[in-house]
Amino acid sequence: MGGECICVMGRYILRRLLWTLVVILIVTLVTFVIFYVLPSGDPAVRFAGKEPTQQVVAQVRRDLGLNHNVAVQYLLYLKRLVVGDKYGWPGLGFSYTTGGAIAPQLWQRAQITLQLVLGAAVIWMLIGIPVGVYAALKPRSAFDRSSLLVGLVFISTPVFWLGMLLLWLFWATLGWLPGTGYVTFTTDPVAWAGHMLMPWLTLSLAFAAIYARIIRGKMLDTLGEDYIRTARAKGLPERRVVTHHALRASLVPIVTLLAVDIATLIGGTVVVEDVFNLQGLGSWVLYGAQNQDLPITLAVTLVATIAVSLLSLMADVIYAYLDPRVRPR
Amino acid sequence: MSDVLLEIENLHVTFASPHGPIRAVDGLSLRAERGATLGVVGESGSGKSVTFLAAMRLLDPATATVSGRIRLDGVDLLTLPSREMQTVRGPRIGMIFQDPLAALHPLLRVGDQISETLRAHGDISRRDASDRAVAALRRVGIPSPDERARQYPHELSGGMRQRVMIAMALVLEPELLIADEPTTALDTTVEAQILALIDDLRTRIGLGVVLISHSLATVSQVADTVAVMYAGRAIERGPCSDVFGQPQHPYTWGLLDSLPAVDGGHESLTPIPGAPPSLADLPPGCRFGPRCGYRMPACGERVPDLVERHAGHADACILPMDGREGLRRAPIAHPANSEPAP
Amino acid sequence: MTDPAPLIATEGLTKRFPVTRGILFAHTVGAVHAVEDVHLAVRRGRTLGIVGESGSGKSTTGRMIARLIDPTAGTVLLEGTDITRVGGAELRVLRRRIQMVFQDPTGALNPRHTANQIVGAPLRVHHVAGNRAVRVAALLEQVGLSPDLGDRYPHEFSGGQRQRIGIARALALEPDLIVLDEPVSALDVSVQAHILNLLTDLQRAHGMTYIVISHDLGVIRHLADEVAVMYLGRIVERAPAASIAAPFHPYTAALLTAAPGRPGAAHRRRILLPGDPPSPITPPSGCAFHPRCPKARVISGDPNVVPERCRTDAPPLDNLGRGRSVACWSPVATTDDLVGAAEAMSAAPDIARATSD
Repeated sequence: MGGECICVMGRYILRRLLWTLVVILIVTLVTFVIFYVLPSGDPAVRFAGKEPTQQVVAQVRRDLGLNHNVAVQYLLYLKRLVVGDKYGWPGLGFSYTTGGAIAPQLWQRAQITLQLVLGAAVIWMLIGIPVGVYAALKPRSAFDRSSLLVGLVFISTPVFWLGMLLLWLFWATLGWLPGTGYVTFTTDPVAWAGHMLMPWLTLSLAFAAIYARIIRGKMLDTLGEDYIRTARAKGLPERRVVTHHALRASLVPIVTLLAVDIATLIGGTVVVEDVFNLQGLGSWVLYGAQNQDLPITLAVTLVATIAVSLLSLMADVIYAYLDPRVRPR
Repeated sequence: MSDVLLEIENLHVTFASPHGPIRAVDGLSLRAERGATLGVVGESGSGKSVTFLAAMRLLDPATATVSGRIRLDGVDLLTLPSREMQTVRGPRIGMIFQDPLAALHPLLRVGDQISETLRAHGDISRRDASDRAVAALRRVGIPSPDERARQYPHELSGGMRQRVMIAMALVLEPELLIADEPTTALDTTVEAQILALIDDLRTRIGLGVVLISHSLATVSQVADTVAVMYAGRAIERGPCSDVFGQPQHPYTWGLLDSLPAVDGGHESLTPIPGAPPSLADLPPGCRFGPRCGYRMPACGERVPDLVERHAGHADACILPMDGREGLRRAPIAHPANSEPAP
Repeated sequence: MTDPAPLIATEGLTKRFPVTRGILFAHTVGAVHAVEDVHLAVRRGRTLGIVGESGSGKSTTGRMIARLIDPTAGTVLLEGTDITRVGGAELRVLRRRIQMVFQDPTGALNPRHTANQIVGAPLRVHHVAGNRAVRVAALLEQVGLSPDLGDRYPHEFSGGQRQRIGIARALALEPDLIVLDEPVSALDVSVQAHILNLLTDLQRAHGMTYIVISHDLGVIRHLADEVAVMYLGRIVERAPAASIAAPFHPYTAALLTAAPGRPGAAHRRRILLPGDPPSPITPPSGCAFHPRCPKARVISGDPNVVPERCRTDAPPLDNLGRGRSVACWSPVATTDDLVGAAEAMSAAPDIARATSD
């Protein structure tokens, strides 16, 4: 029975993994078409940065295999992605506007963005869950109403303005926190956290407000379920009824939502990274767009879309793990 | 032999609503005895489920006002501190519900849901609790209980799920089982199994059972005593064979005459005219008065009390006792045979 | 016995829903045998009752007859004409002749439409000539509702009244046949009786033909002239309503004794079948009832043994005369010995395990 279960689960994960690979393949095809085929003009010139020399263009043409027909170009593009190129893995080439290889930059910046997004996600869940649960336990109470009001303020505050406000308050005025910039965790954990705290808060407050409302709604639905009445009828302490029975059921659907939100934020933290001068993917994509640096734009686009498909795969697997009803039979 | 286990006295349950207070239970008195089955019948809105949710203190105090007395072995449950009430739910009273799929937690294995009950009420190791959960499943006739314990509710059939609910309600060996429409969601042949199981447990372990049902037939199969409820009050109560054999209240007559019989033919049924009153706007006097074919002027004056006529058989009707049976066949006046507008 | 041409008949009606699985692309690996080889016939002005438990295929059969879903095999004949595969304009005409009433009166009515709009909708859709308002008022009156209530919305009515609206809508096009799927199951006892009486009155007044589908033998026997008992997609017994009380199929016998009788009447000893109806995805071999059948154990004399033929061959629906047919290798003569056999089976752990999946 248990072994069979694992086997079935394994088949399910395998199936979802295969589908994710198919989706990623489609993503590479679409990005190839958008970046190489659709725009008019010589792709080699476009990939070579602003005002390239003949030499550089010829170099790019050689590197990207642009002498071949389109189909072969795509296969070469795919091959570079899979096995890497002379600039590292994945093979995304060289940025001629920054004068640096893409791959190593990508990894470094992805790390910073990931720290920013995951940290923010932890904070918004830590705020959203208790606020949502408590509001659901006392609906229409003063707490419920004021949490809604504060939440609305957070949701409607522009992110850059909130960032500036925090900087002005905690850095410029109170001096409690360091200003913009980034310190790696391994160099100095305290400084790392100090530098990340304001970006985390800036990014998470609106989400915290939204998640609190969603969790409140789910909790209210769940608390009306028959099985909650059963849990009380068998004499469980109210605390256990709320945490073990109601919250558990309410959080399961949140998993999918969380995965999608995290995925969209990867490559979508442009404003926060800009305000706090974090060298992540968001500020990179801004640079790429401003300087018409195609290799950078392509790299972030690829990473962001692949992140979405991988995270939705993860969400589906976790959902199936948490909810036996959606498990494959 | 009368060994009163649960005694409800002058119970009132009122819900707040935008249309004014809703009097769901209005002066109800009932008794359930140890080792016997009390059947509570009534149509939707009669207050039968609310009564026992009130006894379990499972109504939301924000919307429901409960007054009166509900004594379990002489102790009033309504005044018990909530911490002590937690030790009543489970160890002393078990409860099962209509739809076992909705009543079981969908994300937890059924064995864990049962052992959780054990662990909440005693110092017992995880392993011992799960062993006892399996034993409880075996006791309610679930085959391969150790495998079933590891399954989730949606993987079981309707009958198995209700057996799981019964196992869970009885795992702490309570004295009283409250079964709220336990077979309504089940197939006919499975319903028969579940009723037989409850009856078997009652005789084997001396359990007191309250069987709440809208189905007179279901109640008549297993109940020792029956209470018929209408608009928040008991209008007839007595030994099962008396209530169904010599029913005394015109509403009980109406219910029985509304039933198509399994062995009946095409003869026209005699339904009760009209519809139950709004609980926010009850008629003066007897609640059944406006629908009653035997109505007298005195019926509108005051709410008739439940009066014991003979040998434990009581009814709340002011019709003279002489020749009531004859009246049943020939109503004085029958109002138009249709439901009025709500 | 004179047997005029039936109004509606089915021949070999079968419905299988595919079961699919696959790693990348789904393929069919099996089928839910919802309905298998159902033969039925109902004469004009009569009522056929189909009784069965969940998964017996009774509702699927009703929906196929009303042409709401397409059968996998078999035919539906309306006055001898094959209507199984008609479509387009012909199907629209057909819809006027066969109507359906559903169990849940709340879910079946559009909450944003008034009673008048709901009852008038079929007249509008089918472009029925004449004064629609007058016709709708007459229909409401026919089902015992005051036409003054016509501009109210479904939520303003009680459950019984909503079911009356559903029936009025079904009557609007003066159909030949109404398929009633659990028409009173969602209603309180006293309201049930009103609706049952209404259905009988309408049939008397208009010579309507009904197919009533229900899990409740009381309701079926009250309304029907003939009863068909379904188990796991097949008809296991057909009999005139008056004689079903003396069943030939052991499943019918169990259903009869399990169904709560009229209170106060003497209780028959119940035949308690072990386990649940099996899955229609993997129906048992031979006679689908054999894993739970007490009669098979009476024959073998051992709760663990089933006669070879019951396990290997599915019994055909045999015509026994007098309108009765049964699909059983060894029809029931007396139900007395079935009670004990069923009890012995419930006590045998292997059977309990095998029948409870």
